[in-house]
Amino acid sequence: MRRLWLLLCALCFVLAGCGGEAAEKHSRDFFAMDTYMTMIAYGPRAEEAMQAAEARIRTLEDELSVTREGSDIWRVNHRTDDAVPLGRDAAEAVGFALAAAKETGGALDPTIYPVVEAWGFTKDHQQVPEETALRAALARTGWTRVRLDDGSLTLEPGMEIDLGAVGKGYAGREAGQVLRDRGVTSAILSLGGNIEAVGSRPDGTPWRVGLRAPDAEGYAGMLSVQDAAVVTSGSYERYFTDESGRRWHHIIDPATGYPAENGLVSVTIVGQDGLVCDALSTALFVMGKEKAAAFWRAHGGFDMILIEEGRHITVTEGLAGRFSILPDYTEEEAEVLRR
Amino acid sequence: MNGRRTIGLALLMSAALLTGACGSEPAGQRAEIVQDGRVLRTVDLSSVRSEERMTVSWEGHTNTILIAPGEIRMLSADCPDQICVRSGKLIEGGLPIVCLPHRLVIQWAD
Repeated sequence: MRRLWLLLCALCFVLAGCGGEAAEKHSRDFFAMDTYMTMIAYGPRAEEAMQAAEARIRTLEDELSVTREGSDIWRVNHRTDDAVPLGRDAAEAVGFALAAAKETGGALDPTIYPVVEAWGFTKDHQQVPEETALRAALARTGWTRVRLDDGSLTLEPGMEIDLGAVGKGYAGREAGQVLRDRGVTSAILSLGGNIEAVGSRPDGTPWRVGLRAPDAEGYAGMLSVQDAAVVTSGSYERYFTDESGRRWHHIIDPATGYPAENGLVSVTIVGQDGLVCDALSTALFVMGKEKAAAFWRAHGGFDMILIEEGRHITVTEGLAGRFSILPDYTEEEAEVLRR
Repeated sequence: MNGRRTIGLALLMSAALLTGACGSEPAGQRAEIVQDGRVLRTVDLSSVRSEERMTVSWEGHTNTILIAPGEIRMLSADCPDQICVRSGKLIEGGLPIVCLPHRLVIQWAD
């Protein structure tokens, strides 16, 4: 009987070891970059690595925030000279945002901030701006009027810059890299809904990421990913309703100064680089379905899920088999985009 | 092979099977309500028998949380964006419900 007890004890140790070194789960949650971030990582290095990842995110917030006094971006927007030298991170992020602006034909524009301010999306009070105010704000935008030379950013008077469409993506990419550099092979991060998956789940199966239903509670579908970023831009995230009952969301078309209205309600980009995914989710939302599909065919290197009004879902061919629509959301099958 | 050794082997084999299964997440029913990093309350939703409204204050503002059998959600909030209310109920395995202006989070407990 004693031997049986010993065996039972051994079994207990084996079971305890189950949550032990190899697969021990660690988590970390915090507010940063005007959002709520959660990290889950497994393994003996997880705790220390997540601490370093959070520190990296906080550094980026200090450098890239449009509202934080003294940040690189704040210094640009409160400049006394036309040219402002940027730190390494801000220079990289701004350089990327300008390149993305060029690549997307201005569908993403890091100089749109005056228009976003006119709509009140930067503060608690949102309103439909007067036509003249909107035109004046639009006159202060335009990515082609910005120069970045040797880490020094030059803007015309009255113009402002912000990294709202790429900052969290940059932070996600960097945080994921910190975890990988420290030997973490299984982690999943959510930066206010921007997902960065490091490796796979501890049992080797892919991470499962739920895709929020834009017009209902719960999820529209489930996506399997490993070592990938998943970033969604949706008109349901931030919006307000005016006196006449019309709804206005926060994703501004830089060409018109008005929220993009093209039938899309959410755009999810799946790819290797969280920064690219973040930029493209905004830009392709602004483009609309046809142009987004053409952009994907011309550039590739990422996958996407588009949800339109009426719950019609389109996925690129790389996701067929990795994305499943929840039958509660719609019984219609996804349209698959092919090259 | 004697009987005890057979039991031992069976135990070790079941241990190995259980070890293999432990990478997957348990279907948790324990939700926690956290404000500014402080856990205000943890609720096992599977043991909730009747509806309850919990009020949480933050700098003169208020959130009301509905705790019901198997369900928890932000019922109302006097925050400007209402994102937390629109998030609906906390979904199994889903993202937290967050009221950013009031630093309030409803999420699954680890």
